[in-house]
Amino acid sequence: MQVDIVTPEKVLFSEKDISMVTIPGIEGQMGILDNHLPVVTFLKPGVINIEKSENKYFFTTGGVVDFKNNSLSILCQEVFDVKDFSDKQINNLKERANKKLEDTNSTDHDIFISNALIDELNLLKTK
Amino acid sequence: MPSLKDLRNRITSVKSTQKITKAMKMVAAAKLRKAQENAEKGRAYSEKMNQIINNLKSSITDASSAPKLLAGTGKSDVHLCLIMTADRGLCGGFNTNIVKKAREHFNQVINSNQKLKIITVGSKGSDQLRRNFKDYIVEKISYKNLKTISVNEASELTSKIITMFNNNEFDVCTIFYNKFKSVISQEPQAQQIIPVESSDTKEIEETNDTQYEFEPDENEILEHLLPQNITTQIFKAFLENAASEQGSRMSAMDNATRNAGDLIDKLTINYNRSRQAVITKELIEIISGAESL
Repeated sequence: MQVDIVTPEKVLFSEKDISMVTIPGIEGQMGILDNHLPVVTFLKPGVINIEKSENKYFFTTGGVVDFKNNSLSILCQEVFDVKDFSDKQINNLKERANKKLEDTNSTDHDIFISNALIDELNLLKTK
Repeated sequence: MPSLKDLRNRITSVKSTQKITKAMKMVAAAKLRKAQENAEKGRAYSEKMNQIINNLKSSITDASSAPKLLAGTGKSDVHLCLIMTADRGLCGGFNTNIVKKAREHFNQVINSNQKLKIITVGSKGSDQLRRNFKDYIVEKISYKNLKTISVNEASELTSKIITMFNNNEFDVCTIFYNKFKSVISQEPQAQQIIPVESSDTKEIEETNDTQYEFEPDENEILEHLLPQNITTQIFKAFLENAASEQGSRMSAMDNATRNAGDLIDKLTINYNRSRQAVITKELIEIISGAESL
């Protein structure tokens, strides 16, 4: 299948003939194989894993996924290649999430996302 | 008749102007390449986002349960307009074109007795609108100090707009910006972002044949996706605007450089002519002086 990872600034990843992609769906991890049903779902913070001869890992803070006609589009506001994910970027993200948690105006959804972001970032560090 | 010295001064001053416009053209050309690249890269995202929204829209059967951002409040009493212009001048008709387009819309809104609220982004737009529409401007935003505009600015703007919408401060929101077509042509656009404008029927027909699986359900997705869509649209407008601004500036400065060149040619001819006249006059004076002796 065709896989595209798109941010508002650019197309980060675009390749054909990918056999499987694992995405952090809002209702749980999702593995998408070739010829999956058309699906639209949200992402929560986590790692996108693209399986090919050399696996590719991307960290996203959330986004939308659209699968149709054997083509997977992952739209994210922010996405980082895990290989060159710097400590500074990680700390920035954490800071932002903590701010959201302290903010009394945050909705339940915000709090859920921020908690997930911090957990995922911590997991990433231990890997 | 200006003296020789006057002409000489004028030629040097036009020459230095030409140097400035030439330099500005070069800078604009360099910036344009980058801005154009960004605008083209950014289009992929907004197109995909539009597709998803359209898919969702066509799968919603009960319009009354749809989120308000999609369907609107059902009224069109208060219009919010977002005028996106540049912070700098000397870019030909770039700012004026947007403002002109916006003015038409404003007059239409006012004439049909609807309320108008204006947010200006970029200082040039607010300067031009201050005279006639001062009372309608609710907010002025300027990113003069920022080198490049990122998604963060767009999402800040979006959250501002959405808070206003949730407080029932407006019913319809339209953004005005220049769409980058080519270096010599930019089209001022008026795009309605709240409620989402129904796209052309052709697109909907295409998307209707696929049955989607939604996780979570449509309404919940829409509720989170719509604010993101607004951010995307605003960011797209920023990118298109940036490319248009540089393109417009480049062609304006190119024209200015050429005009300056023409002017220098004319002035040089004038200068040579009057120099010759002076020489001839002196000769005549000498000859007639010698004759009279």
